[in-house]
Order: sequence, then C-alpha cells, then structure tokens
Amino acid sequence: MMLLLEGGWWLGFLIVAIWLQQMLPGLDVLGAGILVPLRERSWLTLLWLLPVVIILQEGLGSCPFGSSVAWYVMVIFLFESLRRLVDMESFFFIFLLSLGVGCCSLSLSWLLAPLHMLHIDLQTTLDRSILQALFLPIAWSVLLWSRRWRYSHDAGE
Amino acid sequence: MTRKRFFLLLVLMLLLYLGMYTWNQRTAILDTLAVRAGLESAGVILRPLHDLESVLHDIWGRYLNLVDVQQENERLKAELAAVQARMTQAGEERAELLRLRDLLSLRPGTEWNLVGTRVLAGRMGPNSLMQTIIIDRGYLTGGAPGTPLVTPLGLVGRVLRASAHTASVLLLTNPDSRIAVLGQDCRETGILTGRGPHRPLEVRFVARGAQLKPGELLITSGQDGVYPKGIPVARVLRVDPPAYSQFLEVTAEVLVAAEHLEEALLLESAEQLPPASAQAAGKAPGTASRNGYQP
Repeated sequence: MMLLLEGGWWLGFLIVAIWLQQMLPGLDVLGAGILVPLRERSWLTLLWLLPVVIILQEGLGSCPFGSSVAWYVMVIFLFESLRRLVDMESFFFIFLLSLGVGCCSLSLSWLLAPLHMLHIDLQTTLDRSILQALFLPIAWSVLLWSRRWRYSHDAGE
Repeated sequence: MTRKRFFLLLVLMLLLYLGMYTWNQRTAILDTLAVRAGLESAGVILRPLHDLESVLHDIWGRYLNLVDVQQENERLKAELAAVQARMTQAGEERAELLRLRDLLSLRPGTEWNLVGTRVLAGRMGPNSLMQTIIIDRGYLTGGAPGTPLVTPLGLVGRVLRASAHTASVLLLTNPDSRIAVLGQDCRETGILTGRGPHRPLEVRFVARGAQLKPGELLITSGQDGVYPKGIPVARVLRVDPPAYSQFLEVTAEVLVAAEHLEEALLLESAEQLPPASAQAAGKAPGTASRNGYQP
C-alpha cells in the first residue's frame, strides 16, 4: 500500500512539475523533487529519480547534453554541504539553499553558454535565477506538507 | 574524508564530466537519448494537459464571452468575405504565375507540404537557454529538425530538436538564429538575426546604398536553402546610416508574437516525405514551392 502511495505521489509530482515548468519558462520545478529523497535519505528513490529528471530536463532543453548533470550535481553538493552546517528543519537552511541555488543557476548558465557556443541574455538569466531562488522555499514547504502522510507513517513505525 | 581525498574526488568527477561531454559532442548519443526519451515523455504529459487547458478555456470562452459572440460573428463574416475575395485574386495570380513559369521553362523545384501543429509549451526548464517553443509534431509526424514553422502572418522559426511526436522550435528572436532575407520592395538582401525576447531583430550586411525604408516587409530570400523564398519574416523599424562600417544599421520587428501562438504550420519538404505523399503534397492546396510561398 505504501509503495503504491509512494509511486502515485511521484507520478503526480512529475505531472504537476512539468505543467508548472510549462507555465513558468526557465524555472526548474523537477529539481525541487530531488531535494525530497535527499532530505529523507532515501537513496533508492534518488537513484531512479535523478536519471529521470536529467533525461526530462535535457530533452526539454535546447543545449547539448550535460548542463542538467552539472546543475543537479551542484544542487546535491550544496544540499549535503549545508546539511552538515545547518539544521535541515530551520528556516536558515532553506534560505541559504535558495540563495546558493540562485547563484549556481546564474554561474552555471554563464559558464556553460560559451561551451555550448550560445548567446545568453544576462538580464533574462538573472531574472530566472532570482525566480528559481524565490521558488525553492515555496516548493520545499509544499513538498514537505504534501508528504506529511509519509512522515507520520515513519513515526508510527 | 580528508581534504586531499575530497579534492581528488572533485578532480575525478570533473574529468568524468568532461569525458562524457566530449564523447557526447562526438557521438551525440546522449543528446539523441535525451530528446527521444525526455522530450517524448514530456510530450505525453503535456498533450493531455494542453487538451484539458483548451477544454477549460473553451468553457470559459463560451459562457462568459457569450455577449460578444454575435458582434464577433458579424465581424468574422465580413473578414471572411474579404479573405475570400483576396483568395480569388491570389488564385488568379497563381494561375498566371504558373503559365508564365511554363513559358519561361522554369522548374517549380522541390515542393513543400503544410502540416498543422499545436504549440504545447514555451521555453521549459533550466536547460533551455535558447528561445524555443514545444510543438506536438515530431520527426515521424512532419516535424523533422530543420523544418520551418510558419503562420499565415509569417515565419516563426525552425525545428531545432525532434523526438518521434514532439519537437522544439528555435524562434527567430533567438540570438543564434540567422535567416537570409530580402526587402519585399527594394529587393536588397541581408541576414536577419535575433537579439533576445522582446527586443527588435537586427538585419546585418545590408549594403550602404540600399533603398530599404522603415515599414518595408522583409521576406525569406531562399538563398540559405532552409526556408522557401517569399515567407514574410519581419517589418523594418529603423534604418540608420552606418557609423564606421559599409553596411546600414537596420532593426526590424517580428510579425508573429510567439508567446501568444497556439497553432502553426510546418513546411515539410517533399524530400522528407515518402514518394506517394510527396506527389500528393505537390498537388494539395496551400502548398509552397522552393521558388515561392503562399500561405
């Protein structure tokens, strides 16, 4: 039953995330889902979710393969580094994570655009990075709220 | 983990990443995998969502805008009559063109087939650095890479990447877009380049003495071999004398606002079609030839 609920939740997440990405151009909603197994220390979920998200983002994107790999490695590295320094449940953690993700988004686009031989508009990239940083705390709260059933079940066990 | 081990791991990961990147640049295997699996899967999710949005939009439109329907109907009827009159005139001109072409023994060249498509989404995800839109046609259904996308108003862009049933289209506002154009009246050629969203386009390499005027329509010249000749692309905004170079400084505006686009037409080359379809496409109404385009 738990497995079915878990599968349904992730399917629902993927559909809603793709729909939201369609509504907000340039925003990474799928990436917020990567933070869930990281928080729950659920490596098996991360093992299947990470390739699925990378393939989806690379397919939807317009750059040669590789940007999403670098992007998610940076996000995971940032999450794990912050987890060692700050309590995951505190507001300060998600504030620093959002700030870091925004900076990573900007720097990665700026670094990879010459590698892909693409022109990037700095203003658009900056706007996108700010939007990404502002979006993350909201996504984090909504995702944790929507997975209360999971945490109450774990506590019951 | 000691600091030395940490840096070793970091260097190893960087090397692995660069190795993967270089290997993919050479073979494009990962690109193909991402497009065929990722874009196609996203298309499977986006299509029903788009249909649902359309249904909700229709319900909204039918029940809340009912008041305007009568007036709009009258206006559309008047427009239809005007369009029909123009079509009749265009038909006559086309017949005349064919007669003259026969007279001059000109070959019509490769024919193009118009394929309707719906826009599923705009630019999506952190990896979409270029100005693109996603459509519900792929390489199996008329949207092979390189296929031009048009509307009755003019050119939108061309297919950049395609999975079986979904494709992303590079818009002409993207800074990496290059289109060979010519002025409809003055017949001077240039290269149209995008400068990003909500910014005017730039027309490069227009000779200093060219008689290009603001308001003049720019059409595809067909010289790049990508687009058929004669598709309206942009309208000239400003023509400034050059400061240092031997070319005019020309800016232009797009004719089709891609952010509000819902449906469009793909210009599928007959070379991409099976022989029987290509023959039918050549005879179908609303076709375009390499020597000219009629929406």
